[in-house]
Parts: sequence; C-alpha cells; structure tokens
Amino acid sequence: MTAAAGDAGPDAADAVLRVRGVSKSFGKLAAVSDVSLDVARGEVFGLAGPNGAGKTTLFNVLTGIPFGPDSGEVLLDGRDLARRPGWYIARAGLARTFQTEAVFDDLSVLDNVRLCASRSALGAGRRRDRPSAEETAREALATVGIRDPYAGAGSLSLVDRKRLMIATAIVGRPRVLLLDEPAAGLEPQDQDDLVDLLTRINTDGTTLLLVEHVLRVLRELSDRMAVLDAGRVLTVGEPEAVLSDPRVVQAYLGPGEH
Amino acid sequence: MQRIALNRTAANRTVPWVAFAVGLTVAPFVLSGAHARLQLIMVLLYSLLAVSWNLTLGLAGIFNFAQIAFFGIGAYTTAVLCTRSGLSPWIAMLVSASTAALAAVVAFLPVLRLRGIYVGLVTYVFAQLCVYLVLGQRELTGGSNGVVGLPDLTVGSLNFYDDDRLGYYFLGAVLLFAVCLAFALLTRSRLGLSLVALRNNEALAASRGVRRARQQLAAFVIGAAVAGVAGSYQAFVNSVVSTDVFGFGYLTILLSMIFLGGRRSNPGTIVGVVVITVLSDVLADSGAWQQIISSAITLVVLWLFPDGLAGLARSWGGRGLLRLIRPAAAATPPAQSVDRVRDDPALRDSLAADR
Repeated sequence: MTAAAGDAGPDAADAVLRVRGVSKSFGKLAAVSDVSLDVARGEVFGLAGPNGAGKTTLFNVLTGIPFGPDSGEVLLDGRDLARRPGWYIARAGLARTFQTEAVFDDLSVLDNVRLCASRSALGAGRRRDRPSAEETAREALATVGIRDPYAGAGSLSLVDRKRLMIATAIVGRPRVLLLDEPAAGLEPQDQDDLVDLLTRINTDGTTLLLVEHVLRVLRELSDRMAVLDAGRVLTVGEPEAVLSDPRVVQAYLGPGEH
Repeated sequence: MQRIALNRTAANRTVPWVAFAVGLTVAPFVLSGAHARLQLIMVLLYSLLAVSWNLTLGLAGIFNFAQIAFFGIGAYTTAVLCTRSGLSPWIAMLVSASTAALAAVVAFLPVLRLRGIYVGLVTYVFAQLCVYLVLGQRELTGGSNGVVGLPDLTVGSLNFYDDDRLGYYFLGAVLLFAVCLAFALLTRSRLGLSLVALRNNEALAASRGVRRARQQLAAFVIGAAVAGVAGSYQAFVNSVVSTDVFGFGYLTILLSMIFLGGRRSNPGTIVGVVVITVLSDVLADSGAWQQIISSAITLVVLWLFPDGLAGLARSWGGRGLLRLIRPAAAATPPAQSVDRVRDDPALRDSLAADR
C-alpha cells in the first residue's frame, strides 16, 4: 500500500472493497504488481494511469473475468473472492462494465436486463412478495434512460449501448460497480449525462470504482483516486492532490519531456 | 422483429401453434398412401432430431456434433432393451431419453475446457467412439449386423404399424408438437436467455452471474434427451437399428436441413426438413444428382441468406431482394462501432495545463 499525502483512507470497517497485495503476471510481465486499495462504502474511487498501467488487468483479476489474480486477496465486505469464478464474484456483488460497449446483441433491450436481474438481486422472501425480474429490469432501464425496451440491443446507438451495459450491471444491485472507461468515445454533452447517471447510481447506494481517461469526468465524480503505473499503485488521495503529484505527471509525460 | 414478437397479444401468439397442430393432424389424410405416409414420418423424425440439435447448435451456438451420437444411443438403447429384455417398449423409450442424457454429460466434459471449432472436433470424435463401442459389443448390439426384430408399439389392441403406420405418424406428431412448444417456452426462459447471452458475449455473461458450465450442460442434456427419444422413435418405425444411425449420412442430411432452414429458428428448420425430404424423394431416381442438387440449393441459400430460409422470410419484401443485388450492403445495421482514440493526448494536455 502506497501511503500518499492526503490519503484519507477508510477504516477497515468502512471499506466495502479491500484489495490486498494483488498481483498478476503474464510470463515475465508483471501486469499488476502487489496492488492494495481500500474503497470506502458509498464513495466514488477513481483510477487513472497511462496506457498499459494495468488498470483493466486489475479490473479483470478483481472480477475473475477471465482470470483471477496470481496472489493476493480481494475482500468484498470481508469475504475473499480472489480466484473465485467470475459468475460467483458477480453474484457476490462485484459488478463491472467493459471498455467496449458490451451488450447481448441478439436479445431485446428488456431481455438483456431481465436476464441480469438475478434471483439474488430480487431479494429474499417469498416469490409473490418480490418484484418480478421484469419490473426490476424496467426500473433499471428507466434509471439509465432507455425508452424502448423492445428494441434489439444490436441496433442501439453507441450511447444507448453504454447505457444498456450500465443497466445490466446495476439491475443486480451490486455493492461495488467497476466502470472501465465509461466516458470513452462520448461527446461532451453525453459525458455530462454520464456523470449525472453515475452520480445517481452512487447516491442510490452503489460504491463506484472508476477507470477513466477523461480527466474532467474523473475529477467531477471521484471522492478519492489512485494512479497506477507499470502495475503498481503510484499514489492515492484527493483527485486534485493526486493529479498535481510530480510522480503522476512524470508517469504520464515520461522522463525528460517536461 | 423482437418488438413484434413481444407486442403480440396472447391470441396472436396462439395462432401459429393452432395452425401447426391442425397441419400435423390433417397432413396424413391429405397426403395419403403408404409412400407419402413414410415420407411424413421421416419429416417428423428428422424434425424432432433437428429441433433437438438446434438447442445447442443454434440457440447456444455450440459446435456440437455429438447430437447424432445421442440419437444413436437412443436407438440402440431401445433396440437392445426391446429385444434382449421383456421391458415395455414405452418404458424403453423413456430409458432411451435417460441414456442419451447421460451420454450428453460425458460428451460435455471437454466442452468445459474447449471453445469454438475444437468442441466440434471433440464431439465428432465422441460420435465415432460410440460407433466403435457398438461394434465392439457384438453380443449385445449385433455388431455390424445391427439389431433386428423390434416389436411394434401398441396401445391396447391398437398397433401403431396398422393403416400404413398411422399410429407412428401421430406419435411423432405429438412428440414434435410437444418438443417445439417446450423449446419455445425454454427460449423465453432464463435458461434460454442465458444461452443466447453466452453465445453473444461469454465474458459479459459471466460478469452478470451466468454460469456457463451449468447452463450449457443443461442445453446439452435436454437436447440429448429429445434426440434419444427421436432415436427410439426411429428404432420402432424401422424395427431395425444399425450403426448407420451414427453415420455421416444422418449428420450431413441433418446439417443441410438445419442450415437451409435457419439454425436459430425451429419453424425454419422444419421447413428445411420438408424441403430436403421432398427434394430427396423427387430426385430419388437421379443417383448422385440427388445429393448434388440438394447440396447446391443449400449452398446458394446460405450464400445469399446466412440465416437460411428463416432469414429469407424475415427480410422478405425489401432488404432481402436488395441483398440479392448488393450482397454486402444490406447486412443488419451494425451497432455504431467506435473507433476510439484511446491514447493520452487529451490527458497529457490536461495534465500539462495543470502545471
């Protein structure tokens, strides 16, 4: 764990997600190397870093898709999920989105979300007392603002595909949602809408872990953030403090360029 | 498409099923005679097998070539049980479904580790292994001579062979209707949705809590049980079972039926079965031309309409005809793909401005 200036890290009790010494190597390349992070319940935690820093690999190992870490612990509310299969981690409450706008193209918008409204998401209790998968799905679609639930997912625009991907992630009421570059490829206006949407999702009680290249979005949303470089945590703290950290600037611009 | 399907009223949704049931009921009386009856029974048999195959091949998108083995295992289970033990033929049919389902569990094991075309190779090998297993157990299976002398199915004093196999026709019709209805419901169920999801994007499906192994195993087992029943049905209809049931003949004719009709559409598949069966019958005296012509038709349809006749029906009237002229232009509108610049220039500028 890299203790950075201004790091107001959560107490162990507040942390919903605790990453402890997580590493993942591909042959000799250490893509993620001894990463430790604590994400507090209810916060938006930003994650930045140059290309190849290991942000997406970190997401992959945290969610077990397609592989878990070589070593380390991923504690969601104290329960170690490292090396569990992806579907198990998802059902435990760690959801994610992907860099590409991944949706199930051959299903309707509603069926995309209905499928993801798993039984665990609908809560305990007798069947008749729970909302149906379809009701829950329609709620999620209303949240992200997709109007036509019967459209084929394969025919959606880029923006709607992103919205749908987020809807399929939030319909399961995850404890933590990992967002991999949600603003990439969006027009400024759409980025603003995205910030609104993510703020609402966060206010509804979902903790967000956000990888983002669009710094404006990262700044507006993040309560705290970390910068990864070469698979390691460079620094953690308040966004403004982190982004003006000389080591961060160095990591982005490279030595000798500034 | 989807919108139309979902917005239909319950009545509208029932109409095709009623038409299907009526069609199945009147067909043997409209097309009468021993030859026509046998052709109709072949249509039912092939349809049953093709629809069972569609579950893995079409809906789940798995290159499963073991289906023909499940069919053969069903046929041999029935044949052996009916000739070597005094078991009721009806119970033999149920046991055939179970043995085929059990075989599906074994055939599925490599699918846990493999993807795509490798699944095709391994499941094909599984089917070949079944042939050698049957040939090796000569005392039980009759080896290359097969099993002959199966009893006829009867209900009370009614023999299914009587009246040009009318009983077999209706048994097949009831089975086909029930299986089609069950699979239509299955397609709309969570299992059906998750199979499509896994076919579209396995990583996304896993990240939404879908268990690939369990869902695809279910598809294998359910499809195999139906194929086992189809095998049993085939055994009773012909009263002979030989290793032909595992053979390349069944495999190729079924694949051409499925792909001609459209592997993701059961109505399409059944139309494909009818077309190929009629074609084979009409061309029965043409020797090699029989295969050449039906293969050529299948290829042309697939070239123009990768989704088979079902795809042709879907795009009938406008885009479909346009596609004949400009094959590449009229493909389904792709989701706006992003050619994103994922580099850091914006970030660099922004950081530089910060300093």
